[in-house]
Amino acid sequence: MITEKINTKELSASLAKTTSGLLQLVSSFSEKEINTIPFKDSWTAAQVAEHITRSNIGITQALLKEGKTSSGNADERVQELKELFLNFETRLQSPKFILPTQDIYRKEIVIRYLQKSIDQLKQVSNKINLFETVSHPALGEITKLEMLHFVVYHTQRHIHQLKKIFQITATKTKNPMRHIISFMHVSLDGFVAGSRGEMDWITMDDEIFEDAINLANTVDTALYGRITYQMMESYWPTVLINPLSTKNELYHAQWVEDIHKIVFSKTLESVEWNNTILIKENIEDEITKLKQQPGKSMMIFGSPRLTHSFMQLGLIDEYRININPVVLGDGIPLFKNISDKINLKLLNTKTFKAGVVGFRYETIK
Amino acid sequence: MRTLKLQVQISVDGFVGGPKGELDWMQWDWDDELKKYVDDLTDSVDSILLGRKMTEGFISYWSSVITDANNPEFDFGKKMIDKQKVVFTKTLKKSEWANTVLAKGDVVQEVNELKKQPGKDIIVYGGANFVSSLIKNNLIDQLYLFVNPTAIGNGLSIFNDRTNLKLVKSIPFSCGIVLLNYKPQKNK
Repeated sequence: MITEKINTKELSASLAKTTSGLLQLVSSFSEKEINTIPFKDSWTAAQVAEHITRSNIGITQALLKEGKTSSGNADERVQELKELFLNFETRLQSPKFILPTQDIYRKEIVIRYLQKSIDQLKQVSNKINLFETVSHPALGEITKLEMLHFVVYHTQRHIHQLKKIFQITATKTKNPMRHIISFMHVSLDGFVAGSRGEMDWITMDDEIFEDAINLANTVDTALYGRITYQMMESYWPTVLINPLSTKNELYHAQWVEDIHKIVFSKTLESVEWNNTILIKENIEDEITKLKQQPGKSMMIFGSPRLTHSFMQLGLIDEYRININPVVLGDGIPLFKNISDKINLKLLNTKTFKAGVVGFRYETIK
Repeated sequence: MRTLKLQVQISVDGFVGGPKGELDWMQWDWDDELKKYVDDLTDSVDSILLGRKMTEGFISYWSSVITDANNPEFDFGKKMIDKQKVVFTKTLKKSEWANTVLAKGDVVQEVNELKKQPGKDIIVYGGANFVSSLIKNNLIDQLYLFVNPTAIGNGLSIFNDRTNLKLVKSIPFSCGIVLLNYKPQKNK
Protein backbone atom coordinates (compact mmCIF):
# COMPACT_ATOMS: atom_id res chain seq x y z
CA MET A 1 0.00 0.00 0.00
CA ILE A 2 1.16 3.48 -0.87
CA THR A 3 -0.29 5.00 2.27
CA GLU A 4 2.33 3.41 4.45
CA LYS A 5 4.98 5.52 2.83
CA ILE A 6 3.37 8.65 4.13
CA ASN A 7 5.35 10.11 6.99
CA THR A 8 2.91 10.94 9.75
CA LYS A 9 5.70 11.89 12.13
CA GLU A 10 6.51 14.93 10.06
CA LEU A 11 2.85 15.87 10.04
CA SER A 12 2.46 15.72 13.81
CA ALA A 13 5.69 17.69 14.25
CA SER A 14 4.42 20.39 11.94
CA LEU A 15 1.04 20.35 13.71
CA ALA A 16 2.73 20.82 17.07
CA LYS A 17 4.97 23.60 15.80
CA THR A 18 2.18 25.53 14.07
CA THR A 19 -0.28 25.34 16.95
CA SER A 20 2.25 26.36 19.57
CA GLY A 21 3.28 29.25 17.32
CA LEU A 22 -0.34 30.30 17.17
CA LEU A 23 -0.79 30.19 20.93
CA GLN A 24 2.34 32.21 21.45
CA LEU A 25 1.22 34.82 18.95
CA VAL A 26 -2.28 35.16 20.44
CA SER A 27 -0.74 35.51 23.92
CA SER A 28 1.42 38.40 22.76
CA PHE A 29 -1.65 40.60 22.23
CA SER A 30 -2.60 42.78 25.19
CA GLU A 31 -6.13 42.66 26.58
CA LYS A 32 -6.90 45.85 24.64
CA GLU A 33 -5.12 44.88 21.43
CA ILE A 34 -6.85 41.52 21.24
CA ASN A 35 -10.21 43.30 20.98
CA THR A 36 -9.12 46.12 18.68
CA ILE A 37 -10.50 46.15 15.15
CA PRO A 38 -7.38 46.72 13.03
CA PHE A 39 -9.12 48.01 9.93
CA LYS A 40 -12.62 48.14 8.46
CA ASP A 41 -14.31 44.74 7.88
CA SER A 42 -11.53 42.86 9.63
CA TRP A 43 -11.85 40.49 12.56
CA THR A 44 -10.13 41.27 15.82
CA ALA A 45 -7.39 38.93 17.02
CA ALA A 46 -9.83 37.47 19.56
CA GLN A 47 -12.33 36.77 16.79
CA VAL A 48 -9.68 35.03 14.71
CA ALA A 49 -8.80 32.91 17.73
CA GLU A 50 -12.43 31.97 18.29
CA HIS A 51 -12.78 31.07 14.63
CA ILE A 52 -9.76 28.75 14.84
CA THR A 53 -11.04 27.25 18.09
CA ARG A 54 -14.38 26.46 16.47
CA SER A 55 -12.68 25.07 13.40
CA ASN A 56 -10.51 22.81 15.60
CA ILE A 57 -13.55 21.52 17.47
CA GLY A 58 -15.27 20.74 14.17
CA ILE A 59 -12.21 18.88 12.90
CA THR A 60 -11.88 16.91 16.13
CA GLN A 61 -15.49 15.81 15.85
CA ALA A 62 -14.94 14.76 12.24
CA LEU A 63 -11.82 12.85 13.22
CA LEU A 64 -13.83 10.87 15.76
CA LYS A 65 -16.41 9.81 13.17
CA GLU A 66 -16.17 6.35 11.81
CA GLY A 67 -14.88 6.55 8.25
CA LYS A 68 -14.50 4.38 5.18
CA THR A 69 -11.12 3.14 4.12
CA SER A 70 -9.69 5.57 1.64
CA SER A 71 -9.91 4.29 -1.92
CA GLY A 72 -7.21 6.48 -3.43
CA ASN A 73 -4.13 8.13 -2.02
CA ALA A 74 -4.79 9.37 1.50
CA ASP A 75 -2.80 12.53 0.79
CA GLU A 76 -4.36 13.31 -2.57
CA ARG A 77 -5.82 16.66 -1.50
CA VAL A 78 -2.85 17.90 0.53
CA GLN A 79 -1.34 19.96 -2.29
CA GLU A 80 -4.71 21.50 -3.13
CA LEU A 81 -5.27 22.51 0.53
CA LYS A 82 -1.79 23.94 0.79
CA GLU A 83 -2.21 26.06 -2.32
CA LEU A 84 -5.61 27.28 -1.24
CA PHE A 85 -4.76 28.30 2.33
CA LEU A 86 -1.24 29.53 1.88
CA ASN A 87 -2.10 31.86 -0.97
CA PHE A 88 -2.44 35.02 1.11
CA GLU A 89 -3.50 37.09 -1.88
CA THR A 90 -6.93 35.49 -2.15
CA ARG A 91 -9.75 36.25 0.25
CA LEU A 92 -11.49 33.17 1.63
CA GLN A 93 -14.94 33.14 3.13
CA SER A 94 -15.34 31.26 6.39
CA PRO A 95 -18.26 28.82 6.60
CA LYS A 96 -21.00 30.32 8.77
CA PHE A 97 -20.80 27.70 11.56
CA ILE A 98 -17.29 28.73 12.54
CA LEU A 99 -17.77 32.49 12.35
CA PRO A 100 -16.84 34.43 15.51
CA THR A 101 -19.77 35.17 17.80
CA GLN A 102 -18.80 38.13 19.97
CA ASP A 103 -17.44 41.66 19.84
CA ILE A 104 -15.42 41.72 23.05
CA TYR A 105 -13.60 38.76 24.56
CA ARG A 106 -11.50 38.23 27.63
CA LYS A 107 -8.01 37.30 26.59
CA GLU A 108 -7.62 34.65 29.26
CA ILE A 109 -10.74 32.82 28.08
CA VAL A 110 -9.85 33.13 24.41
CA ILE A 111 -6.51 31.43 25.08
CA ARG A 112 -7.93 28.80 27.41
CA TYR A 113 -10.48 27.62 24.81
CA LEU A 114 -7.97 27.76 21.99
CA GLN A 115 -5.48 25.71 24.00
CA LYS A 116 -8.14 23.17 24.88
CA SER A 117 -9.26 22.79 21.26
CA ILE A 118 -5.65 22.20 20.19
CA ASP A 119 -4.96 19.67 22.96
CA GLN A 120 -8.06 17.65 22.11
CA LEU A 121 -7.27 17.73 18.42
CA LYS A 122 -3.74 16.45 19.02
CA GLN A 123 -4.92 13.81 21.44
CA VAL A 124 -7.53 12.46 19.07
CA SER A 125 -5.22 12.54 16.07
CA ASN A 126 -2.77 10.25 17.86
CA LYS A 127 -5.20 7.42 18.37
CA ILE A 128 -7.16 7.17 15.14
CA ASN A 129 -6.62 5.66 11.73
CA LEU A 130 -5.60 8.63 9.56
CA PHE A 131 -6.28 6.74 6.34
CA GLU A 132 -10.05 6.76 6.65
CA THR A 133 -12.27 9.06 4.62
CA VAL A 134 -15.04 11.04 6.26
CA SER A 135 -17.38 13.79 5.17
CA HIS A 136 -16.76 17.27 6.63
CA PRO A 137 -19.39 20.03 6.32
CA ALA A 138 -16.94 22.50 4.80
CA LEU A 139 -14.23 20.32 3.29
CA GLY A 140 -16.40 17.58 1.78
CA GLU A 141 -15.05 14.05 1.35
CA ILE A 142 -11.65 14.06 2.98
CA THR A 143 -9.24 11.71 4.65
CA LYS A 144 -8.37 12.29 8.29
CA LEU A 145 -4.77 12.74 7.26
CA GLU A 146 -5.76 15.49 4.83
CA MET A 147 -7.81 17.09 7.58
CA LEU A 148 -4.72 17.41 9.80
CA HIS A 149 -2.90 19.01 6.90
CA PHE A 150 -5.84 21.36 6.62
CA VAL A 151 -5.40 22.28 10.30
CA VAL A 152 -1.73 23.12 9.69
CA TYR A 153 -2.33 25.25 6.58
CA HIS A 154 -5.46 26.92 7.92
CA THR A 155 -3.63 27.82 11.13
CA GLN A 156 -0.63 29.10 9.19
CA ARG A 157 -2.92 31.28 7.13
CA HIS A 158 -4.35 32.81 10.28
CA ILE A 159 -0.91 33.24 11.83
CA HIS A 160 -0.04 35.32 8.81
CA GLN A 161 -3.21 37.36 9.33
CA LEU A 162 -2.63 37.73 13.09
CA LYS A 163 0.87 39.06 12.54
CA LYS A 164 -0.57 41.80 10.36
CA ILE A 165 -3.30 42.53 12.92
CA PHE A 166 -0.71 42.63 15.69
CA GLN A 167 1.36 45.27 13.94
CA ILE A 168 -1.65 47.50 13.34
CA THR A 169 -3.30 47.14 16.75
CA ALA A 170 -0.03 47.59 18.59
CA THR A 171 0.51 50.91 16.81
CA LYS A 172 -3.11 51.83 17.34
CA THR A 173 -3.14 51.23 21.06
CA LYS A 174 0.18 52.99 21.48
CA ASN A 175 -1.10 55.92 19.39
CA PRO A 176 -4.81 56.03 20.13
CA MET A 177 -7.14 57.49 17.51
CA ARG A 178 -6.55 61.16 16.92
CA HIS A 179 -8.79 63.34 19.04
CA ILE A 180 -10.72 66.32 17.81
CA ILE A 181 -10.37 69.13 20.30
CA SER A 182 -12.53 72.22 20.44
CA PHE A 183 -10.69 75.15 22.00
CA MET A 184 -12.81 78.15 22.94
CA HIS A 185 -12.81 81.26 25.07
CA VAL A 186 -16.26 81.57 26.60
CA SER A 187 -18.08 83.91 28.95
CA LEU A 188 -19.41 82.61 32.26
CA ASP A 189 -22.85 82.39 30.65
CA GLY A 190 -21.56 80.22 27.81
CA PHE A 191 -21.08 82.61 24.88
CA VAL A 192 -18.13 82.60 22.49
CA ALA A 193 -18.98 86.05 21.11
CA GLY A 194 -21.43 88.82 21.90
CA SER A 195 -24.62 89.27 19.87
CA ARG A 196 -22.75 91.61 17.49
CA GLY A 197 -19.77 89.30 17.35
CA GLU A 198 -17.86 91.16 20.10
CA MET A 199 -14.76 89.41 21.36
CA ASP A 200 -13.26 92.33 23.27
CA TRP A 201 -14.10 90.62 26.58
CA ILE A 202 -11.63 87.78 26.02
CA THR A 203 -8.71 88.03 28.41
CA MET A 204 -5.44 87.34 26.62
CA ASP A 205 -2.22 87.88 28.51
CA ASP A 206 1.18 86.17 28.34
CA GLU A 207 0.16 83.35 30.70
CA ILE A 208 -2.99 82.48 28.75
CA PHE A 209 -1.29 82.92 25.38
CA GLU A 210 1.53 80.63 26.43
CA ASP A 211 -0.95 78.00 27.58
CA ALA A 212 -2.70 78.24 24.20
CA ILE A 213 0.64 77.82 22.41
CA ASN A 214 1.44 74.75 24.50
CA LEU A 215 -1.93 73.31 23.62
CA ALA A 216 -1.44 74.14 19.94
CA ASN A 217 1.86 72.28 20.03
CA THR A 218 0.07 69.06 20.97
CA VAL A 219 -1.88 69.04 17.70
CA ASP A 220 -0.71 68.72 14.12
CA THR A 221 -3.83 69.82 12.27
CA ALA A 222 -5.92 72.96 12.58
CA LEU A 223 -9.58 72.86 11.55
CA TYR A 224 -11.37 76.03 10.47
CA GLY A 225 -14.76 77.14 9.25
CA ARG A 226 -14.78 79.48 6.25
CA ILE A 227 -15.09 82.77 8.15
CA THR A 228 -12.35 82.08 10.67
CA TYR A 229 -10.14 80.71 7.90
CA GLN A 230 -10.53 83.85 5.80
CA MET A 231 -9.77 86.02 8.81
CA MET A 232 -6.65 84.00 9.63
CA GLU A 233 -5.50 83.88 6.02
CA SER A 234 -5.72 87.63 5.59
CA TYR A 235 -4.10 88.40 8.95
CA TRP A 236 -1.29 86.02 9.95
CA PRO A 237 0.83 86.19 6.77
CA THR A 238 1.00 89.99 7.23
CA VAL A 239 2.31 89.50 10.79
CA LEU A 240 5.27 87.57 9.38
CA ILE A 241 6.41 90.52 7.28
CA ASN A 242 5.46 93.27 9.71
CA PRO A 243 8.59 94.67 11.46
CA LEU A 244 6.44 95.68 14.46
CA SER A 245 5.28 92.13 15.26
CA THR A 246 6.11 90.88 18.75
CA LYS A 247 7.99 87.66 19.44
CA ASN A 248 4.80 85.82 20.47
CA GLU A 249 2.96 87.05 17.37
CA LEU A 250 5.80 85.97 15.10
CA TYR A 251 5.92 82.59 16.77
CA HIS A 252 2.23 81.98 16.29
CA ALA A 253 2.25 83.39 12.74
CA GLN A 254 4.94 80.90 11.77
CA TRP A 255 3.07 78.09 13.53
CA VAL A 256 -0.14 78.87 11.62
CA GLU A 257 1.81 79.11 8.38
CA ASP A 258 3.39 75.68 8.84
CA ILE A 259 0.61 73.65 10.39
CA HIS A 260 -1.59 71.37 8.33
CA LYS A 261 -4.87 73.26 7.86
CA ILE A 262 -8.28 71.96 6.86
CA VAL A 263 -11.07 74.31 5.88
CA PHE A 264 -14.67 73.16 5.89
CA SER A 265 -16.84 75.13 3.50
CA LYS A 266 -19.57 74.41 1.00
CA THR A 267 -19.08 77.71 -0.83
CA LEU A 268 -15.31 78.14 -1.15
CA GLU A 269 -14.00 76.97 -4.54
CA SER A 270 -10.37 76.64 -3.61
CA VAL A 271 -7.85 77.46 -0.89
CA GLU A 272 -4.53 79.15 -1.53
CA TRP A 273 -2.75 79.17 1.81
CA ASN A 274 0.25 77.01 2.51
CA ASN A 275 -0.52 73.42 3.73
CA THR A 276 -4.26 73.87 3.41
CA ILE A 277 -6.91 71.54 2.08
CA LEU A 278 -10.59 72.19 1.52
CA ILE A 279 -13.39 69.80 2.51
CA LYS A 280 -16.69 70.72 0.91
CA GLU A 281 -18.99 67.88 1.95
CA ASN A 282 -19.39 64.60 3.88
CA ILE A 283 -17.82 66.04 7.02
CA GLU A 284 -18.50 62.89 8.98
CA ASP A 285 -16.82 60.49 6.52
CA GLU A 286 -13.87 62.81 6.01
CA ILE A 287 -13.34 63.16 9.74
CA THR A 288 -13.55 59.41 10.28
CA LYS A 289 -10.85 58.98 7.63
CA LEU A 290 -8.68 61.67 9.20
CA LYS A 291 -9.07 60.14 12.65
CA GLN A 292 -7.83 56.79 11.39
CA GLN A 293 -4.69 58.26 9.91
CA PRO A 294 -1.65 58.31 12.13
CA GLY A 295 -0.86 61.66 13.71
CA LYS A 296 -1.49 63.93 16.64
CA SER A 297 -4.80 65.45 17.62
CA MET A 298 -6.68 67.97 15.50
CA MET A 299 -8.01 71.21 16.92
CA ILE A 300 -10.85 73.48 15.89
CA PHE A 301 -9.82 77.08 16.30
CA GLY A 302 -12.62 79.59 16.80
CA SER A 303 -15.16 78.71 14.09
CA PRO A 304 -18.33 78.55 16.23
CA ARG A 305 -20.56 77.37 13.40
CA LEU A 306 -18.17 74.57 12.43
CA THR A 307 -17.98 73.63 16.13
CA HIS A 308 -21.79 73.41 16.24
CA SER A 309 -21.84 71.08 13.20
CA PHE A 310 -19.15 68.89 14.70
CA MET A 311 -20.96 68.89 18.04
CA GLN A 312 -24.23 67.80 16.44
CA LEU A 313 -22.41 64.97 14.64
CA GLY A 314 -20.81 63.91 17.93
CA LEU A 315 -17.33 64.40 16.48
CA ILE A 316 -15.74 66.38 19.30
CA ASP A 317 -13.69 64.27 21.71
CA GLU A 318 -12.32 66.96 23.95
CA TYR A 319 -13.32 70.47 24.99
CA ARG A 320 -10.83 73.07 26.15
CA ILE A 321 -12.92 75.87 27.55
CA ASN A 322 -11.40 79.03 28.96
CA ILE A 323 -14.13 80.56 31.09
CA ASN A 324 -13.64 84.33 31.31
CA PRO A 325 -14.78 86.31 34.37
CA VAL A 326 -17.51 88.07 32.49
CA VAL A 327 -21.22 87.77 31.83
CA LEU A 328 -22.35 88.78 28.32
CA GLY A 329 -26.09 88.26 28.68
CA ASP A 330 -26.50 87.44 25.00
CA GLY A 331 -24.48 86.26 22.03
CA ILE A 332 -23.32 83.19 20.12
CA PRO A 333 -23.36 80.17 22.45
CA LEU A 334 -20.65 77.50 22.43
CA PHE A 335 -23.20 74.72 22.88
CA LYS A 336 -25.99 75.16 20.37
CA ASN A 337 -28.79 73.02 18.89
CA ILE A 338 -27.63 69.97 20.76
CA SER A 339 -30.33 67.33 20.59
CA ASP A 340 -29.56 65.98 24.04
CA LYS A 341 -27.29 66.84 26.93
CA ILE A 342 -23.57 66.52 26.36
CA ASN A 343 -22.07 64.65 29.29
CA LEU A 344 -18.48 65.43 30.00
CA LYS A 345 -15.68 64.05 32.09
CA LEU A 346 -13.58 66.65 33.88
CA LEU A 347 -9.89 65.97 33.22
CA ASN A 348 -8.45 69.05 34.90
CA THR A 349 -8.70 72.77 35.39
CA LYS A 350 -6.19 75.57 35.40
CA THR A 351 -6.67 78.90 37.12
CA PHE A 352 -4.98 81.83 35.41
CA LYS A 353 -3.86 84.95 37.26
CA ALA A 354 -6.17 87.13 35.18
CA GLY A 355 -9.23 85.31 36.53
CA VAL A 356 -9.78 82.97 33.59
CA VAL A 357 -10.31 79.29 34.44
CA GLY A 358 -9.29 76.73 31.81
CA PHE A 359 -11.45 73.60 31.83
CA ARG A 360 -10.40 70.41 30.09
CA TYR A 361 -13.21 67.96 29.45
CA GLU A 362 -13.49 64.71 27.54
CA THR A 363 -16.79 63.87 25.87
CA ILE A 364 -18.52 60.82 27.37
CA LYS A 365 -19.88 58.82 24.44
CA MET B 1 -21.79 94.16 57.28
CA ARG B 2 -23.13 90.73 56.39
CA THR B 3 -22.57 89.56 52.86
CA LEU B 4 -25.10 87.90 50.57
CA LYS B 5 -23.82 84.70 49.01
CA LEU B 6 -25.27 82.95 46.00
CA GLN B 7 -24.85 79.16 45.91
CA VAL B 8 -26.08 77.51 42.75
CA GLN B 9 -25.50 74.47 40.55
CA ILE B 10 -24.80 75.49 36.98
CA SER B 11 -24.21 73.62 33.71
CA VAL B 12 -20.98 74.09 31.73
CA ASP B 13 -22.90 76.39 29.43
CA GLY B 14 -24.18 78.56 32.26
CA PHE B 15 -27.74 77.36 32.92
CA VAL B 16 -29.25 76.72 36.35
CA GLY B 17 -32.09 74.57 34.99
CA GLY B 18 -33.46 73.14 31.79
CA PRO B 19 -36.06 75.16 29.81
CA LYS B 20 -38.75 73.91 32.21
CA GLY B 21 -36.50 73.99 35.24
CA GLU B 22 -35.31 70.37 34.80
CA LEU B 23 -32.44 69.36 37.06
CA ASP B 24 -31.71 65.98 35.41
CA TRP B 25 -28.31 67.21 34.20
CA MET B 26 -26.97 67.66 37.72
CA GLN B 27 -24.24 65.52 39.20
CA TRP B 28 -25.73 64.21 42.46
CA ASP B 29 -22.92 61.92 43.47
CA TRP B 30 -20.77 64.38 45.41
CA ASP B 31 -17.36 63.44 46.77
CA ASP B 32 -16.57 64.01 50.45
CA GLU B 33 -14.50 67.09 49.83
CA LEU B 34 -17.36 68.80 48.02
CA LYS B 35 -19.80 67.80 50.77
CA LYS B 36 -17.46 69.28 53.35
CA TYR B 37 -17.06 72.46 51.32
CA VAL B 38 -20.81 72.96 51.03
CA ASP B 39 -21.28 72.14 54.74
CA ASP B 40 -18.77 74.83 55.68
CA LEU B 41 -20.42 77.29 53.34
CA THR B 42 -23.77 76.51 54.93
CA ASP B 43 -22.34 77.01 58.42
CA SER B 44 -21.10 80.47 57.45
CA VAL B 45 -24.69 81.70 57.08
CA ASP B 46 -27.68 81.97 59.39
CA SER B 47 -30.32 83.30 56.97
CA ILE B 48 -31.69 82.03 53.69
CA LEU B 49 -33.40 84.25 51.13
CA LEU B 50 -36.23 82.68 49.16
CA GLY B 51 -38.30 83.84 46.23
CA ARG B 52 -42.02 83.34 46.89
CA LYS B 53 -42.41 80.75 44.11
CA MET B 54 -39.85 78.28 45.42
CA THR B 55 -40.66 78.69 49.12
CA GLU B 56 -43.45 76.14 49.26
CA GLY B 57 -41.37 73.40 47.58
CA PHE B 58 -38.22 74.25 49.53
CA ILE B 59 -39.84 74.10 52.95
CA SER B 60 -42.00 71.05 52.34
CA TYR B 61 -39.04 69.14 50.86
CA TRP B 62 -36.74 69.75 53.83
CA SER B 63 -39.57 69.23 56.32
CA SER B 64 -40.14 65.76 54.93
CA VAL B 65 -36.40 65.00 54.92
CA ILE B 66 -36.13 65.66 58.67
CA THR B 67 -38.98 63.29 59.53
CA ASP B 68 -36.53 60.43 58.96
CA ALA B 69 -33.33 60.48 60.99
CA ASN B 70 -31.80 57.89 58.64
CA ASN B 71 -32.19 60.09 55.60
CA PRO B 72 -28.67 60.86 54.30
CA GLU B 73 -29.75 64.50 53.91
CA PHE B 74 -31.03 64.71 57.49
CA ASP B 75 -28.26 66.92 58.89
CA PHE B 76 -28.43 69.32 56.00
CA GLY B 77 -32.24 69.37 56.11
CA LYS B 78 -32.12 70.23 59.80
CA LYS B 79 -29.96 73.24 59.01
CA MET B 80 -32.35 74.35 56.28
CA ILE B 81 -35.30 74.18 58.64
CA ASP B 82 -33.54 75.76 61.64
CA LYS B 83 -32.01 78.73 59.84
CA GLN B 84 -34.04 81.87 59.46
CA LYS B 85 -35.73 82.15 56.10
CA VAL B 86 -36.78 85.40 54.50
CA VAL B 87 -39.46 85.05 51.85
CA PHE B 88 -39.78 87.85 49.30
CA THR B 89 -43.41 88.36 48.39
CA LYS B 90 -45.84 91.06 47.40
CA THR B 91 -48.93 88.83 47.72
CA LEU B 92 -48.60 86.72 50.88
CA LYS B 93 -50.18 88.23 53.99
CA LYS B 94 -48.38 86.28 56.67
CA SER B 95 -45.91 83.43 56.97
CA GLU B 96 -47.27 79.99 57.77
CA TRP B 97 -43.89 78.36 58.10
CA ALA B 98 -41.57 78.00 61.09
CA ASN B 99 -38.47 80.22 61.29
CA THR B 100 -39.73 82.22 58.35
CA VAL B 101 -40.43 85.90 57.93
CA LEU B 102 -41.85 87.81 54.99
CA ALA B 103 -40.15 90.69 53.19
CA LYS B 104 -42.79 92.65 51.35
CA GLY B 105 -41.01 95.86 50.54
CA ASP B 106 -38.61 96.81 47.78
CA VAL B 107 -36.02 94.07 47.24
CA VAL B 108 -33.02 96.40 47.35
CA GLN B 109 -34.10 98.09 50.58
CA GLU B 110 -35.07 94.84 52.27
CA VAL B 111 -31.80 93.11 51.41
CA ASN B 112 -29.71 96.09 52.45
CA GLU B 113 -31.60 96.22 55.77
CA LEU B 114 -30.90 92.52 56.34
CA LYS B 115 -27.22 92.98 55.59
CA LYS B 116 -26.97 95.67 58.27
CA GLN B 117 -28.36 93.39 60.97
CA PRO B 118 -25.88 91.50 63.16
CA GLY B 119 -25.28 87.81 62.60
CA LYS B 120 -23.67 85.43 60.17
CA ASP B 121 -23.84 85.84 56.41
CA ILE B 122 -26.92 85.40 54.21
CA ILE B 123 -27.35 82.88 51.41
CA VAL B 124 -29.64 82.42 48.41
CA TYR B 125 -30.07 79.21 46.40
CA GLY B 126 -32.69 80.19 43.82
CA GLY B 127 -34.90 80.24 41.91
CA ALA B 128 -33.69 81.59 38.62
CA ASN B 129 -35.91 84.71 38.43
CA PHE B 130 -35.37 85.74 42.02
CA VAL B 131 -31.60 85.32 41.81
CA SER B 132 -31.58 87.11 38.50
CA SER B 133 -33.24 90.14 40.08
CA LEU B 134 -30.76 90.08 42.96
CA ILE B 135 -27.84 90.06 40.50
CA LYS B 136 -29.42 92.80 38.42
CA ASN B 137 -29.69 94.98 41.52
CA ASN B 138 -26.05 94.33 42.50
CA LEU B 139 -27.12 92.73 45.79
CA ILE B 140 -25.03 89.54 45.58
CA ASP B 141 -21.59 89.92 47.17
CA GLN B 142 -20.17 86.47 46.47
CA LEU B 143 -21.09 83.95 43.78
CA TYR B 144 -20.44 80.27 44.47
CA LEU B 145 -21.14 78.56 41.16
CA PHE B 146 -20.79 74.79 41.13
CA VAL B 147 -20.11 73.93 37.49
CA ASN B 148 -21.51 70.49 36.62
CA PRO B 149 -19.81 68.45 33.86
CA THR B 150 -22.72 68.68 31.43
CA ALA B 151 -23.79 71.02 28.65
CA ILE B 152 -27.53 71.30 28.17
CA GLY B 153 -27.76 73.78 25.27
CA ASN B 154 -30.78 75.67 26.54
CA GLY B 155 -32.41 76.57 29.82
CA LEU B 156 -32.88 79.02 32.67
CA SER B 157 -30.24 81.68 33.20
CA ILE B 158 -29.59 83.88 36.21
CA PHE B 159 -27.52 86.40 34.26
CA ASN B 160 -28.71 89.57 32.61
CA ASP B 161 -26.48 92.22 31.09
CA ARG B 162 -22.82 92.40 30.38
CA THR B 163 -20.98 92.46 33.72
CA ASN B 164 -17.41 91.93 34.76
CA LEU B 165 -16.63 89.65 37.68
CA LYS B 166 -13.57 89.06 39.77
CA LEU B 167 -12.48 85.47 40.26
CA VAL B 168 -11.79 84.78 43.95
CA LYS B 169 -10.92 81.12 43.57
CA SER B 170 -11.72 77.97 41.67
CA ILE B 171 -11.65 74.44 43.09
CA PRO B 172 -12.00 71.27 41.02
CA PHE B 173 -13.64 68.38 42.89
CA SER B 174 -12.99 64.73 42.08
CA CYS B 175 -16.66 64.07 41.30
CA GLY B 176 -16.29 66.37 38.29
CA ILE B 177 -17.86 69.50 39.74
CA VAL B 178 -15.79 72.70 39.78
CA LEU B 179 -16.42 75.58 42.13
CA LEU B 180 -16.07 79.01 40.58
CA ASN B 181 -16.14 81.68 43.25
CA TYR B 182 -16.57 85.26 41.99
CA LYS B 183 -17.20 88.71 43.35
CA PRO B 184 -19.06 91.17 41.17
CA GLN B 185 -16.98 94.15 40.12
CA LYS B 186 -18.94 97.07 41.38
CA ASN B 187 -17.29 99.71 39.28
CA LYS B 188 -20.41 101.29 37.83
